[in-house]
Amino acid sequence: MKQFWEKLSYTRYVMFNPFDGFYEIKFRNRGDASIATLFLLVNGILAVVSAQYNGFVINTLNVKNMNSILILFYSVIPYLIFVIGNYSTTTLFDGKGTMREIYIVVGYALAPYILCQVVAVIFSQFITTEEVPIHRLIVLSGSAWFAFLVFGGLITVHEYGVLKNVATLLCTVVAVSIILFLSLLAYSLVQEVVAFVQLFITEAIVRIEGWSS
Amino acid sequence: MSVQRRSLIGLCLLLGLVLVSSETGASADLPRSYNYNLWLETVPSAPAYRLKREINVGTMPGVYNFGELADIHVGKERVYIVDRIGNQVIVTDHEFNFISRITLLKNEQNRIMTEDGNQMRLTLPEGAFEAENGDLYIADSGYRDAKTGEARIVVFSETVDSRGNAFYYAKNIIKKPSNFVGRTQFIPSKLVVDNAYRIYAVVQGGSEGIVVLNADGSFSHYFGTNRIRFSPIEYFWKSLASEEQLQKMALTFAPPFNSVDIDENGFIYATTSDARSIDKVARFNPSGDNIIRRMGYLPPIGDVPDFLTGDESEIISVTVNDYGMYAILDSGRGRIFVYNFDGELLFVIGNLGLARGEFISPGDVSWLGDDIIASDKKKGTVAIYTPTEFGRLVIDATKAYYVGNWDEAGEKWLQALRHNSNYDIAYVGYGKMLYMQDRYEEALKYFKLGNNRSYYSMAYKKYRSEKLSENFGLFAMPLLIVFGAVVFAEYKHHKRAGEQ
Repeated sequence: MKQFWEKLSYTRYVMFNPFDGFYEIKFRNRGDASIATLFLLVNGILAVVSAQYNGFVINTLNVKNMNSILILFYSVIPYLIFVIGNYSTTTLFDGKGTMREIYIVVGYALAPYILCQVVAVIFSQFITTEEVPIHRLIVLSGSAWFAFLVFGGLITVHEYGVLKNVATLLCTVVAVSIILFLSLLAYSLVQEVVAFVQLFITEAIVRIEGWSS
Repeated sequence: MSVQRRSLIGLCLLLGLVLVSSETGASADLPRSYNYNLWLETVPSAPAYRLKREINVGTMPGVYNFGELADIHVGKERVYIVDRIGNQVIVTDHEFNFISRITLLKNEQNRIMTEDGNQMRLTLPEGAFEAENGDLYIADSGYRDAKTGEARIVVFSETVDSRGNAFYYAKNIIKKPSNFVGRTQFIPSKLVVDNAYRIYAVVQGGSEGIVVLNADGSFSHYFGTNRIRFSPIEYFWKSLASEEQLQKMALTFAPPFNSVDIDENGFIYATTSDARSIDKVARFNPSGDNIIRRMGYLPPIGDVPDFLTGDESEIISVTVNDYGMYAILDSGRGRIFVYNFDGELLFVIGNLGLARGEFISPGDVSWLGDDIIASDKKKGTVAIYTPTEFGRLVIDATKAYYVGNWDEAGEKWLQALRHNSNYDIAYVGYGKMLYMQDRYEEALKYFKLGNNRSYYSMAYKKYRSEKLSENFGLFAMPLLIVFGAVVFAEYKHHKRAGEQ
């Protein structure tokens, strides 16, 4: 437990010194996948919270159609797909990082984003339409920080140069789109099979009823 | 005795029940209505108008040979019903009592005018408008001039013959002006006349805009063109095409207007039903720019376009009253949409159907005081809709707000809310009153209920600065303490540094 707190507080160092921090995590075991999971979940919950509790001026959520499970899902899944996509490309480009390390990088990188989100949600309670750009700036700076941490972290764990990292990130985009395409394909295929089975059962029931009467 | 009494009580109860049920029956008779919310979902609304009368123009005493009701125009004391197929214009008073029937062109002596030995008569008239001085302008769109092959506008004036009967004589005939330019054919369909007696005529298929004629009948200019939607693909191909290819391609014309009206300040309202047009109803300033306000959840385009097919409302007519409220008529679904000056949807009236007050083929819509009258082409009827209690409150509130009576408007809005608690505009309207009375905290509540972020923001700004100045000490104290602490620490630090 004490070790967990130690590792959690190490996040602060990682946030400001990504290259050093992720190096320490990779080689000196200063971080943990469980902390990454924690950040990922907190990020998902925060997405739900900001959808519901953002100040009135920027909140146009239709509460009737809100689905918090779906929001949680959509704010967690993209990161996981990115991890898979990045791992599948970097293994081909002799990246040194394991799947666990990429996961840790993405999870830890979410920490500043979470902070900015919290600040943004609180700030949005006290703004008028003229101050909306400031709110946007807060969220955007969180995203930029996140992007920087992911970039730096991936360079460190894969032991890449900048250019190679950019190249693999571009490939990751391709990989992610392939994953999305295939999962969509699989989804519709399963849907059709289910529909077919349903149709088959209905047909059978109707026929059996026809015979018996 | 007791049996008798009991049966008496029973009878009374039964009677009461019948009375109550007949009353609820009457309210259930009102058409159901709707409005839109922020997410463009339909929200049930209290009906704002109910059918007062439906007049069958063909069976009105004094009317014969009735064909198709094309246009209806309400003047100061007269109502003009244009019968396109019957080649006539029927004049009635505001109670729809027959006054006169215009079909032949007569001179001031009540003699029929002739041209080339033929009696002059209206042919397929499509629009009528009463000018400021009471003259009646009729777009005689079926007439074909021997020389130009194009139509004319006939100006009538009301007068009394020797027997004291009112009749209309043709005061002036405006044919295609000699200085007319452009490829538009001069076949006026609908027209309005402003206070300077300039004529604004919508011409059939005219893509160059509304034709403006001077008071003397000479051509002035084209006015107000329609903006169109470009499909990106079309744009791409056109950008690639060479000069010669472009010449062979079909030209994209601005969609023509199909109806006009003029408000008290002389601004021209025009509608179009063309699917390519961005705006369905336009309000033109004197230089021809569309300055219609779009403060509503949806710009004034009638219904939300169908999600799958993209079908939009087909707006064929517009009418505006002295308080900036305008109504547009959707011929596709037979609905009248009433907007306020800001372009917020107030009411939806009417429907397609065979019942009284429903449309088979909607023709035209017009204000008659606070009543709305709408004509049906095929049925040959004019339906008069009159405000319900709820509609009356909303109209009064809108009028009061338009002339700057904030307090009265606010009270009316609050009352309207009792009839229809789904009515966002009423919440905002009441909130505006509270805002004007510097009751910001309450205003915030109502602006939130009315889902209006810009007004909420305005009120919040005031509320926030009020709270800040009230509790200045509370905010200033910690800041002072922190500032003092920093100064003190710096001082200590420097002192120690100096000692070393």
